[in-house]
Amino acid sequence: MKYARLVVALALIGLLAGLGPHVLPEYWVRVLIVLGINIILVSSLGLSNGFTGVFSLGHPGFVALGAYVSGILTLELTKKGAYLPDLPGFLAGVQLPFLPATLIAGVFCALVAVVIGIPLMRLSGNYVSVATLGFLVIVNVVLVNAEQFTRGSRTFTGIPPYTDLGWVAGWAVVTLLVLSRVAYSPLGRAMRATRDDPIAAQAVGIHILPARLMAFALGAFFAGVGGALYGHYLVSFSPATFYVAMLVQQLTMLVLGGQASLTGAVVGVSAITLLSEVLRNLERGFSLGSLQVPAVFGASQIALGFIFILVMVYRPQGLLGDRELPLVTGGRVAKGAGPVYKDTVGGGRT
Amino acid sequence: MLETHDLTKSFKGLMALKRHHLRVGPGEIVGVIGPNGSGKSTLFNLISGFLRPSQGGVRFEGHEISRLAPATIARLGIARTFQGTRLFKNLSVLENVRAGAQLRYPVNLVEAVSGWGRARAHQTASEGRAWGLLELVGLAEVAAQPAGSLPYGNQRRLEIARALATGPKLLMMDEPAAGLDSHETAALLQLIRRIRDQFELAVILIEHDMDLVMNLCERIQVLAYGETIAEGTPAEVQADPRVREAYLGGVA
Repeated sequence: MKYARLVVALALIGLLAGLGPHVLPEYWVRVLIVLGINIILVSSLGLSNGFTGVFSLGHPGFVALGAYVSGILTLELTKKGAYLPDLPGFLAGVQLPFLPATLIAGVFCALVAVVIGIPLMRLSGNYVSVATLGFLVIVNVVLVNAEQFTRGSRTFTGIPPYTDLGWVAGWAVVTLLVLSRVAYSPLGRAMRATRDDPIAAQAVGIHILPARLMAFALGAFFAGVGGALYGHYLVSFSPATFYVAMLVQQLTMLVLGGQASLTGAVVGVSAITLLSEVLRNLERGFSLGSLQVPAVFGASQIALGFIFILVMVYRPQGLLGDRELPLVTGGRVAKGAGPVYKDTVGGGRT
Repeated sequence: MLETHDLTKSFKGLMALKRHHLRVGPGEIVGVIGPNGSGKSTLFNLISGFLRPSQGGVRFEGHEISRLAPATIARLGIARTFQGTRLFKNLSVLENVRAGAQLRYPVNLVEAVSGWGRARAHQTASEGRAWGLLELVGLAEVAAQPAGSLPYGNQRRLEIARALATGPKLLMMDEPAAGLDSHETAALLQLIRRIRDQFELAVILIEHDMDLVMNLCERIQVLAYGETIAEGTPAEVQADPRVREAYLGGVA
């Protein structure tokens, strides 16, 4: 009984992943894959940005590391010889299956997050945002210059196209399951307490650094996993794929849905993905009866920008604020959390 | 139980607290009074680890604690409330108290994700403890409301419940009666006495409300400009000419 909803959800996802590619047009399968990857990336960003209030701008850096790590580990040996001839021996002879490569990518990102988080998570408010932006810049520069591993700014290509709807749906479920169980456990309560009042949190025995570091590292783990999935979906990419444009997109989805809500992350990702698909098709021009609307390229981005502004004006806490589906919280705290999430939006808070 | 020895704090040459000595025994209710800027809040911040002493130190149950982190000190059994309250505003009333209770019921990452091990037992225990405390302070009916939406008097009570949830041996309260009317203050006095008896706590109180201090405290220490100018029973302190001078500004 307890797991009934979970079983239903899993069955639906299994059905979608199993039947989807056969029933749906390929276009929609691709939209769903990107949607699922973005759910992984944005909900993992929400753990630090929404739950601990540490407004990180470094997330695409972890996505990039995940994509490159998994890409290097899974590349066929012959292709490795051709594309990355200078790879050190221990990597040159390795070709891993998808799952272990994805897990290693996630663990690698989590370790990087711990190392940079130990100094950075002591900062707060705007300082931590700027510092994590610095991390993103550093990752980009390192990837461009580490030609031995990444082919530099040239396209990294030849990555096996492992990512399909099944993998993405599976990882999205695992991500949301783990994040929701953490966010609504004592660990997540510690994160939310440090966000609301770090001084009071310390006075009740909560150490700030471990609480923030756990959110940051766990978020980085799933960013790495999502990055691996994205890499094996794109098949070829360059450091520029994981930069400011990706950051803006992730933040938009997160803030639109509601930072302190995993449900909100899913809603934000879905809303923006579907809207931008619809708008993208409209901007190619369409005809309404006798009325012929010409193609206006770029109009979809402008429309999205307007929608974002309107939401922020009328619902600055995002569509969901900090409310969750009872499914996410285990039916425990949902009623208590309340829609009052106000003065922590934007992360400019100590 | 608690002892400050030679405790001194200066902020860029300004002596906020000078060579302070205070001993608090188990179950005692001690008041610290003094005009504004006399070093009372500095004393609390030194004991609870939010400030480091310039000299001297704090001993709690025989251990030197003045170099420990605030969260570590809370774990040792010193809880505090803040001037003007500091709640987790976006968390529900119940969640606020559970945030206090959870240091006695730790759960690690694997347990939190899997629900194995201590997770369930600790969940139940901390929730039960939180409900008990909410009933004690009379907030069980509003348990699901966001803490930030409570009226001021109730926020005070919630902060006390959250502090008690940490399982303290010593409770430090910074101006608990500020902003309360005489009726609420009387209820607060009853509550503090009841808490002390039920949980066998020692209490240190910073307060400007003389009625409350004189009625509640067994011993009172008076600070002025960082110096201890008097210490004794309420009657002794009230009779002390230096105390009158400090409060009346040398007119007496």
